[in-house]
Amino acid sequence: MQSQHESNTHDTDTESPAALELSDVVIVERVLAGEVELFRILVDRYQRPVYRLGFRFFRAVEDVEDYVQDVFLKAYLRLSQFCRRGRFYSWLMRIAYTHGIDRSGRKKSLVTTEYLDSPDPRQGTEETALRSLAREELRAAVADLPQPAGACVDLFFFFELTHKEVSRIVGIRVNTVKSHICRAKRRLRERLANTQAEAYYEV
Amino acid sequence: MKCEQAMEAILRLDNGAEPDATTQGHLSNCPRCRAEYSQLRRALDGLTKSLENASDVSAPDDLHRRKQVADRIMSAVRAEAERVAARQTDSGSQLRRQTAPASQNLAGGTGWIAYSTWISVGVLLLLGIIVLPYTEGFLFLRGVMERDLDAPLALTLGLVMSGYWALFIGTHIADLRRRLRRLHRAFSRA
Ligand SMILES: [Zn+2]
Repeated sequence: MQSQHESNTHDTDTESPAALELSDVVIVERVLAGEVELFRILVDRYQRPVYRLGFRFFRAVEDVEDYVQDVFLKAYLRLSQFCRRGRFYSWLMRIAYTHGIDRSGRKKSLVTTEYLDSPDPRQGTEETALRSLAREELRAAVADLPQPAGACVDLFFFFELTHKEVSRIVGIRVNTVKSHICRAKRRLRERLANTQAEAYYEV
Repeated sequence: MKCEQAMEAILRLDNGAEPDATTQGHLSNCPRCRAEYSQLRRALDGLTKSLENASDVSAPDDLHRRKQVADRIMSAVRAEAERVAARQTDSGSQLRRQTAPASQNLAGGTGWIAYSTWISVGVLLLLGIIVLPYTEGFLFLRGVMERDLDAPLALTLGLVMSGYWALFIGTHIADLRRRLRRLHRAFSRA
């Protein structure tokens, strides 16, 4: 275990198991107290989803990387405004979403077909078949829907945000968010039922 | 509870939420709904995780690139932290400078003459300029010179006003800049 005093020397400390187990809130508090290097843990934890969201706004990897950097720097600058009651992740995603819309000039619209898909390593299982079916159907739903309904569905299913979090991020009422998501789920349910019927007839 | 109601409740479930007791009760009694629920769950659970694990964003050097981005973020963060620290010590020494000679700390504390003083003197000057053409002395002068003095007068007084405000801005530049920055930040936050 390392003592807190050594935390200013970087690399070693942010990758230690003790540091990696720290909760987001604890990290935020310690960064605000001056342990700037611990911010890296938050970057490592949430870079992926911010990256993925970036591909909704930009095509070029370089643009997305600039975007990711801007989002995290913005989060750092506003860290004292993070209200500890909510998830750090959803607070970050709100910054990311707003920044994406401001930066890309797209008005509440996400380009969902942009990011590339790579085959799931555990292909062939029923689980993965179901999941890729869901992915395909929900992506189609996002693409078909007008904004901000599409963004709601996207953030709920592909970024695991709750109704309330989506409502805060997109800036529309929770009940509206719920009904958009419910509609998408109904669509998915139908699709699943149909494929099951197909599979049944094939047997 | 009917199947339809149960499915409706399931479709309305939030991320990470479990069905309520009534719906659970229906699920344990109704194999059809139970099968549908489990299928839906299996389709949706780990949807994000499968995206995170698959390199859905880019090339094989994905991991390397992400590390580079993280490095870039951290050096920007460090620079910002240093900037803030520098500004804090800077404003600390400014405070010391201000408190040292008593005369520099008169009123307001932003400069050696308070904003209120600057502004009231400016307003008096402006009033004087407006009133001047109607004063007896000026009318007399005009009578003596037998010429229209309005244009040269406006020019002179305009120069006086400009000089005055330039002096004001020049002596308060640091503080004004700080105030503007704060204003800008407030706007960009909103
Ligand atoms: Zn049923």
